Amino acid sequence: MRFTIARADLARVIGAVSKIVEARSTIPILSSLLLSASTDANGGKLTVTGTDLDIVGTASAPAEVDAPGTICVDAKLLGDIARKAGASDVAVSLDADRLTVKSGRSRFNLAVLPAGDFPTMNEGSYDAEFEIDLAALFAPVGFAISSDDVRYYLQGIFMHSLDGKIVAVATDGHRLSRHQVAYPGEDAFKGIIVPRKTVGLLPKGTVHVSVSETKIRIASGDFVLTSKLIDGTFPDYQRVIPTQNDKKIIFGSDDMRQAAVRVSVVSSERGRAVKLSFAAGEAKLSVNNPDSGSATDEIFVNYDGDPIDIGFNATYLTELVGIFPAGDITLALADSGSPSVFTSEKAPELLAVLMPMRVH
Amino acid sequence: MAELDEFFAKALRAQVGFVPAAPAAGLWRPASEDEAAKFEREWCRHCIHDKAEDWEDEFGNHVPGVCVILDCGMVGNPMEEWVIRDDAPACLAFEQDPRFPARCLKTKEMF
Repeated sequence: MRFTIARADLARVIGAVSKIVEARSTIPILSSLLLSASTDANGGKLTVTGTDLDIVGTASAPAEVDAPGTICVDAKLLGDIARKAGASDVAVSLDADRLTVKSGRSRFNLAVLPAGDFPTMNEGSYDAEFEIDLAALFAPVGFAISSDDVRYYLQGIFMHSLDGKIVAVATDGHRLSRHQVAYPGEDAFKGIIVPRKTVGLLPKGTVHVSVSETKIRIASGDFVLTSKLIDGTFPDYQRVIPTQNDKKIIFGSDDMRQAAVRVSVVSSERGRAVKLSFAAGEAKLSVNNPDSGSATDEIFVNYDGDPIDIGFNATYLTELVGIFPAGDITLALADSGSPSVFTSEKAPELLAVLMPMRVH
Repeated sequence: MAELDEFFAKALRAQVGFVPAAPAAGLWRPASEDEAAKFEREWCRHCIHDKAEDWEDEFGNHVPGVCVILDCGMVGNPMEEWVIRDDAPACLAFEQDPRFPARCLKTKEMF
């Protein structure tokens, strides 16, 4: 195997797939990238593949290939060399059992592993294919993905097609976020749970998505990401979205976020409880921490109903308010012990539910 | 009850040579291994103090990067940082590890 590639191209393709590779893997082949130099009618290209057994990422870039071939090399070493190489081109050749990387007057000899040892993922067939800006669909719901090891089926974003829309939902049992857009595909597909790590690796912009019951494939230009899905049953989230909350309070997102941050200064590190007391035209935020003191703040709101108190975790509240575009947010409440619903006229396709907490 | 306390005190004296002091009012200490494990799972696992790197003191002694409060508290010593809040144990020295945020213990569950 022998090829020459632009340093920037090599750094780009390695950067794209090395995020998939586990840095602390005890299995050497899983710390490696599969390099594949090939030629076709359009010229030569280098394809780099990385995997953690659940996700496979492939990126390719044009290269001047003198001798095609495949080999595995440590992802971190090659990534560091590509980033720090002094010249604009990098020449790579396989000499016996060493990979020689030359750039300018620098020369590196790296240990290799056989390409045949690199794990492969069976592609199979897909039930539905469509083009969508998946990163934008997932962006406002990602914060609610659970980190609970026991409820593994909440450690991802649930995506399904419903009534001509594609719906993305994430919940950790305390808050829930739902974002939906028009479904651009034709074939309906069963609900899937996209793992948290895959969500973090999504390329920005419109991508080509292929979905089956066990896998999702995302293609964007020369970058292709194939990931296993979480094999579990997502809870019936529609059951927990209240529809009868009649007390509607409209507040400015910045006002609420800043006031919550201010009063939570005195809250305990754990369980940042903030009590919201809504009365006609105003909301009072208060925090009472027996160890450090208390704090209150007030903001103007649009509300003319009976006074109502409700307690939220301040971190949850600020994070949730932050997913909406700047401007007015509508909070729909039933009583102080029931889930509350947050919506915004500026983002009608977005809805969030937050559970209350006990406030003393 | 007093007889039972005396029995346990006698057993402790025979086994470890001393009886740990009773916790001051409002302080908490684990009553069983299960209770200690639950506390570690809910608090220490999400706290930066239990994830410090090992270090070497000025005399060249290797000092493991563990939480001193946890280290001392788990062998029965009453720790000032371990208190009872709202009928549940809490740690006043808790500092959340941003990479592993803690789950709110007081927010109601959806499911």
